[in-house]
Amino acid sequence: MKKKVLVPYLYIIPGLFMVLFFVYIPVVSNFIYSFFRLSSYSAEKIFVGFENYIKLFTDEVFLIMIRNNIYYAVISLIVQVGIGTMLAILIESKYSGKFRNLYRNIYFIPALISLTAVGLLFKFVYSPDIGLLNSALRFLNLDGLTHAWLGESKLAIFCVIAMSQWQFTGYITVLMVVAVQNIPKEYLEAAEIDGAGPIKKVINVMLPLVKEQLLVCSIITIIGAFKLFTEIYTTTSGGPGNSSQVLGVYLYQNAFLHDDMGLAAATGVLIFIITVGISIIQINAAKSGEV
Amino acid sequence: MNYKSSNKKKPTKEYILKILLNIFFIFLSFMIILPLLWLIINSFKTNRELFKNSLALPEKWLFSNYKEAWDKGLFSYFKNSVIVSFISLIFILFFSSLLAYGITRFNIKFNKIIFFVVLGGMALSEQVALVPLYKILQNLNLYNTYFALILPYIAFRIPFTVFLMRAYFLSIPKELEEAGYIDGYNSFQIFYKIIVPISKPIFASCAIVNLNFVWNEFLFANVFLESKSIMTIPIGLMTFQGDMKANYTVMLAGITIASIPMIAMFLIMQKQFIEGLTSGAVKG
Amino acid sequence: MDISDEFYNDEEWSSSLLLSQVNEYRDGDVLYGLPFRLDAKMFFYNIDIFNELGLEVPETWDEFIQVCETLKQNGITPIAYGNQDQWPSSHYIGSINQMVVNNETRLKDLEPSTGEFTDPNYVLALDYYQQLIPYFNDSPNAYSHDMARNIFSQENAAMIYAELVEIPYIKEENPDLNYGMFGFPLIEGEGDPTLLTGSPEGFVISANTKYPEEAIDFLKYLTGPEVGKQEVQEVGWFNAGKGIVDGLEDQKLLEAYEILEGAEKMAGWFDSSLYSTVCNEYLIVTSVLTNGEMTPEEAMSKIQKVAQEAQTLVQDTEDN
Repeated sequence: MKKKVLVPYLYIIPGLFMVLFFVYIPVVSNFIYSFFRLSSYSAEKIFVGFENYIKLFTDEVFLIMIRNNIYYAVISLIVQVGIGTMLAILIESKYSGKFRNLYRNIYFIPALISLTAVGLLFKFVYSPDIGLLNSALRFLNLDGLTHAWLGESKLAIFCVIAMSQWQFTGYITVLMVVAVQNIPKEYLEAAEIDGAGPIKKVINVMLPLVKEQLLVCSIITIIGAFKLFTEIYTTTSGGPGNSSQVLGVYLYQNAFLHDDMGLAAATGVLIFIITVGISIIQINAAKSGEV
Repeated sequence: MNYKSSNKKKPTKEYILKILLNIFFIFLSFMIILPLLWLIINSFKTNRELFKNSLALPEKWLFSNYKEAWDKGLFSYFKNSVIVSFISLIFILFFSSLLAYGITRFNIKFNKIIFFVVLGGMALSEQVALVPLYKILQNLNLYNTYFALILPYIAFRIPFTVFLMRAYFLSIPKELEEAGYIDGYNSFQIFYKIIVPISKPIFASCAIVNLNFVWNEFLFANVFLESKSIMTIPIGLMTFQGDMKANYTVMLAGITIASIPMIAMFLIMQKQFIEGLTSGAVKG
Repeated sequence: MDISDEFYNDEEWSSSLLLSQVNEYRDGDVLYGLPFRLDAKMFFYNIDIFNELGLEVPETWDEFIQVCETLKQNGITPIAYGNQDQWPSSHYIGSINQMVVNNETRLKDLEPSTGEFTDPNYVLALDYYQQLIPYFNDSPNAYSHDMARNIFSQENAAMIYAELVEIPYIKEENPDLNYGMFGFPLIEGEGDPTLLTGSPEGFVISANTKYPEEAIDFLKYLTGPEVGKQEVQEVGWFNAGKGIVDGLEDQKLLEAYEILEGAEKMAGWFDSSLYSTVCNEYLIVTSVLTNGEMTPEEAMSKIQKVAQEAQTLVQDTEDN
């Protein structure tokens, strides 16, 4: 009988061990590291209390980073989630015709391309001389609208944000299409019988019925906005100057360029608090709708 | 077209709306595809053609650019991505299914706690673990090896995969197992003879979602690998860009090659892809 | 591993290499490595464009600005410059600093424990840099250095400040380009104008090696004239071996080698000479300054602040 009690644990141990050792332990260590000054090349650790956090919050780049991450979150919510959902509703409407799946696939394809490839591609697209954007503008005789895009302090971050909207709006559309498909037909028919026009149908009937999925999409989008790294790293590295800096890239640069792993760890803790906070909201919201 | 209504105006309105909407969709499709089209036509040009006019079609379609990109790096990066992805995927599915099996088919005391601990892993992001993982891998002498990626990938994908598999396993009726026990199977035989075959759909969905993550993962690949010879595609592309300083069109060919696999997979296995993505819906 | 004894006592060995380049691997009396790839930064210029406009190679700063002005007025981009990755600016700043800042002060400031950057000539250096901005292509921060070099190779700009190791790349980009090289224009100042911006990359032998003799033999071979000849013919790069360009036909490479041969002392790369946080700040402020969004005074005061912090940082690490 003793054997039987142990057996389930045998199934659990490999997976549990991996998660504990390679996920939990590093995250806990990160907390500890954030209170020390340490470097990547030596094992030396000097306890410095909250110094890393003070450095982080008083760094003149701090507000720029938070602002950029927030811009990212807000714009992604409006475009990816907002427009993505609208697209889903349009695609699933009776007016879309027989090519609806083709359209859906086309919008989705960018999401399958590696972030690195997209970053490198768009670095080209935004190139002032030969890039697609300026070339197209000149072709349409809109020379006045050409810009230096990634080279302009005020535009750089928005150019990267735009790149992400191109890449992921279709992804959200696909998720929402499934949610819309799952709306029981009776509700829609009932609304029609009640004389509701298309707009009323969408706002009063469809949106509330997909609200769980909407919430999930919104949460992943916001979390993604704060975990941001590859998009910026492959295009601007935070430049020009510091104008497109974000938390993720700041963490990486401090850990591996400036050899200040303590500060990087503190940044990690901040990212942790923000993303876990949002995740908790997600889990609670998902629970409330759980069947 | 069958007009259900006797009112002659309504069908025309519907028809017009359909046309307008399709025009809109086509326009949008064009805007989305445009960067990719531009990428492809320029990847067949010579460097000088690219600088003369990036909107023009190539004079000659230089397939040699693709061969050059493949030989000068993409082949190796591809190979490494396949190795890392394949091995990671096998263990992610294996460990996760075992774990899910363990907490759903046996009534052990710590079922819920273990589940929540594993689930909690989903909320922990890679950035937060980056610095300590770097140190751990250095200390284990695994830095700059395939395992530097494989082990963290497995660990970080188990939570979500267990989440999906547990939900699926819970829906498998107990009678199936009981029949197995009566036939004299032990728990492991029940696992691979009964549970696994019936769980093919969830295995497929999990495989696809995890493959997408592992194939495109950049942060860990960038930090934990140093040698070109073992770099996966995401970090390999960056290195390739550095190598191709003087030859942008070959680099564009490299980017195209790197992007093809996942797109091809999607087009072939659309249904499973979308099923996998919509269960739980966690982005890459 | 210190190989100064083996090297300097072996006359055959020590006379086979360019000592000015070998010196870059000396620290006091210790010789810890040898060069494998020489490098220096020069202005590359399009000879055809210069000839068309009757321009002569400038030697002083004023002559240089004149040349730029003439080019601009004739609708030609004077200097191709891509600062998207931020490090190219450090080569400009480093070269100017060398000429206007007193050499001892400059060396003192490069050391993180003593670095202050309070000398007003640093601000002057940024002023000079600013003078060039109208002659760069628009928005240098939107181009990578490689893109800028392509612009030069495709003859869409007259000049570019680039490294000698890029000669093979230019050849690939446009084999027919008729170009020449000249050194950074002379600025009269308190610094040392004889310094050549650049530094070789090379190999060092670990002090813990189990095979010191074999390592030294291999290093001798790898960094010597025999491999050097192969290197220059197959890749277009030089090691410090003497006479490696005998029989070489490529004009540009011959010119480049002459420059390296004639260099008395190398000045190193500014960004790699700086302490990391100071370097980061320098690159960032210069990037912003290039966009016209910061003044030289503001830039230097930010750098001074980071230099102060660096001093305490380095001290703390030493104390512990």
